[in-house]
Amino acid sequence: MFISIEGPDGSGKTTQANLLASYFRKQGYDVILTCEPGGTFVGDQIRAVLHDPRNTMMDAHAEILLFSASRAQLVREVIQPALAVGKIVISDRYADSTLAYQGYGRSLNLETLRTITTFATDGLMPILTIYLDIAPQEGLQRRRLNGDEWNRLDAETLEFHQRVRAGYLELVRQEPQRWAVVEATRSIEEVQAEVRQVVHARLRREA
Amino acid sequence: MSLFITFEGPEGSGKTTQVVLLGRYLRRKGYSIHLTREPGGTDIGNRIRKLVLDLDTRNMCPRAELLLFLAARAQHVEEVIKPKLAAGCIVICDRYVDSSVAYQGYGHGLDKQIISQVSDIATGGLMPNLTFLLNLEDVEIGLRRRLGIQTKPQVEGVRQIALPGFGPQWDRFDIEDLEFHTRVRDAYVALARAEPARWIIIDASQSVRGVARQIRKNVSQRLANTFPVCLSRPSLQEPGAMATEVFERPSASLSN
Repeated sequence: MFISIEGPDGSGKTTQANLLASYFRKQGYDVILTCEPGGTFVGDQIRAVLHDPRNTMMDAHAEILLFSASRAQLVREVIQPALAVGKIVISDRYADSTLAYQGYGRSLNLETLRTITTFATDGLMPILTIYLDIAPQEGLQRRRLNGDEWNRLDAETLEFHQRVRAGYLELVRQEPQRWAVVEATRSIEEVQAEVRQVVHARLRREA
Repeated sequence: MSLFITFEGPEGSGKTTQVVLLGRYLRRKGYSIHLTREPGGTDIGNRIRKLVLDLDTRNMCPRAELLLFLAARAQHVEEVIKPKLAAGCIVICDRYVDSSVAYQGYGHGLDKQIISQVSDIATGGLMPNLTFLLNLEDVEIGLRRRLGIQTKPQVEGVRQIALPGFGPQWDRFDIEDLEFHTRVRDAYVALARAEPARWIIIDASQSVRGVARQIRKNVSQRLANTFPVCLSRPSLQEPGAMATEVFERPSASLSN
C-alpha cells in the first residue's frame, strides 16, 4: 500500500508521517517511510545541491529536474521494491509536491511538469494522498519556532506559499478519489486521529 | 557572429582534444569563443557532473541519470550558452542533447520520444548550428584510449593543452560493457544521418591533426556561408582580440 502525505511547510507532515508509520508497525506491518528530496544516496547528494543557499540563481527547470532525478532514484531503489514485497510505503511529499510548488507556486507549465513527473515515477502514484491544510503564515511560523534550518526554499515570498496552497486545493478538486484533506491547525494527536481514520476508510473502500 | 557548435561521439573519440584545438584555431582568427562541456559548464552543472561520474553512485538508475543530465543542461543553457550566443560568441560544447538521446535512449533503452520532449523543456528548444560526430568504427579503441593506453602516437604537446580536469578518467560509464558502447556508436551514426544539415561525421581513428584539419575546414566553410561579409575579420570590440593582430586575407584563412 502506497500512501503520500502532502502539505505546505510547517503543516506537520513529517510528524504525522512518523506517527502513522509507528501505528502500522505496532500492528506488525513492515513500513517504509520516505522523504523527498533524498531517501537514497543519490537523492541525498541531489538534496544537498537543491538546498545549498549559494545556488540562488538555479534555473527553475534545473530545479524541477533535480527534484525529479531524486524521485526517480527513490521510486526505483526504494518504493517499487518495497511495494513488490507487500510493504506499506508512506511518503512525506511525493509527485504532487512538484505540481504544487513548481507548477502552481513557480508557475511552470503544468503539462510539462506532469510529463517529467510521470517519467520520473514510471507512472507510480499512491492510492491515498493526505493533504494537511494550514495557512502559509502559520506554517512558516511553526517551522521557525521548531528551530528548523532556514533553507533556500524558505526564502521565497509569502505569496509563493499562498499559491502553493491554492494549488494543492486545486489538485484535491481534480482527483477527489485519491485525496483526503485534513485540517492541520489542531493538536498533533487530533490530526493523527483523523489521519488514521482516513486511512482506514480508504482501506475499507479498497476491500 | 554567434554560432553554436557541439561535439559528440563515444568514449575516447578525442572530443575534448578537438574542442580545445578548434577553440585555439578560432581564437587565432580573432573570434570570440566560449568552450564548455556537459555535464558541467556552471557551478551547479559541475556538481552534477561530479555526482554522476562518482563511482559511489554506481546504482543510479537510468531515469535519474537522464534527469540529472537534463538539469545540468537547463542550467547551462540559461546561465551560459544563451547569454554567450547573444553576446556574439561562438560557443563550442563538448556533448549536448544528442548525448542524452544516444546514451540514455539507445544505450539504456529509455523512451526516445520522452527524452526529446523533456530535452526540449530543458533547452527551450535551443539546438546547435553544427555538430561534429567523432566516429570510431572500432569502439574498443575509444575505451582503451580512456584508460590512457596509447593506440596511436599522439601529436607532440597535445596533452599539455588539455584543460584542467579534462584528462582521461576511469569513470562509471567505462565499467559498462562493449555492447552498450556499440549501441551508442550506432545511435550517433543514425542521428547524424537523420539530420545531414547539422551533422558532420568525422573518422576519429585518424591522427589528431587529421581530425583537426577536417574540423577546421568544415567550420571555416560554415562561417563563410553564414557570415560572408565578416570572413576572418576579428572584431576589435571583443575582449581578447589583440589590436596588433594582422588581418588575414580570406584566401589565407581557407588554406588549411
